[in-house]
Amino acid sequence: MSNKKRTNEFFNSKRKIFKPLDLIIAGLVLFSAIFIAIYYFGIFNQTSLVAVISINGKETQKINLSDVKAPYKITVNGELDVELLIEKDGVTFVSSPCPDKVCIHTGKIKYANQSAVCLPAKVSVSLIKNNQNKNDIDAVVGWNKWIYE
Amino acid sequence: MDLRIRNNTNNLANTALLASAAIVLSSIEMMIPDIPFMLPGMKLGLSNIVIMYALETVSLGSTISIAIVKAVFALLTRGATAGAMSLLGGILSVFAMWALITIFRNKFGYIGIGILGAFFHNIGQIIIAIAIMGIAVFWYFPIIALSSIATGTITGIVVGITLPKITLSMKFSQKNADI
Repeated sequence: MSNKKRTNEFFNSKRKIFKPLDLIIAGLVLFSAIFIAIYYFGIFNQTSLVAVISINGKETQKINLSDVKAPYKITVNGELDVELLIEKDGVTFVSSPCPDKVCIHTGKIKYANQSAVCLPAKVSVSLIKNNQNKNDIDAVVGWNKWIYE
Repeated sequence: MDLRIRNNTNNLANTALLASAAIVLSSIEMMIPDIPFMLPGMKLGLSNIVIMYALETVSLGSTISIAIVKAVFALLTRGATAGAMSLLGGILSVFAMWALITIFRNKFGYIGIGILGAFFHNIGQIIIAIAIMGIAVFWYFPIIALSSIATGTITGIVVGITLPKITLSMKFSQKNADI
């Protein structure tokens, strides 16, 4: 390690704040984020999610989303009547007579432990994971390996 | 021989200075209140600025020791988990940035180096998080990777603006030492 060389290199540093190649690094990081987001949430979509519909805190209905072949609408009669759209990949509040429409603005809930609530109607929908099967655990171990490599 | 000794002393002093700067920056960072849309654990990574300085001006060994000092500080102030995260993340990011600098020399700008450093820091943190809390934490990864683009850009810009000025002042002190 010659200190002299290092000092020279340092004092004559030609490094710029930004060079076009930086975009490649940013692009790779972005790509990895998107790739893992798609892949990872893809795994979760394969595990069957169960939509739990509760009225006033009491569970009234459970729908296994992987059994849903075609999207359909159901009406939940809470304090107010709200309409839910049940799809294979998520649940959406489609209509509600409540004034604030927070539940509708929540949009489609797709992932485990997400929930949407309509307070005036006292209706809440949350997604929970079905019991993990062997397939999922394999996938998880695969991820672990991938990280440590 | 005389030159060598002086340079080593110089390195030692610079390393100590930069290590204390890293500690100051990370304690300032702790004071920043949580911003609503940021998830817990997302940080600005200000001390990465110092790490980049050290890599550019001192040496790899010094930079690693700064990362270790920083990790000890995190251990003392924020507990064992934070310390382990800081250690693994810091060392991974130092090696990643060092590799980028030595292999590609001047082909990348500070922003690119900063993004890579922030990204690897996050990878180290997430490995520790997975080891402690299980694989479920991994869903954080995409979010944290996106945030590393933002924080890496910020640190890169800060280093790019300030480093040439610090370089000038160091040059000045060296000239004085020569006289």
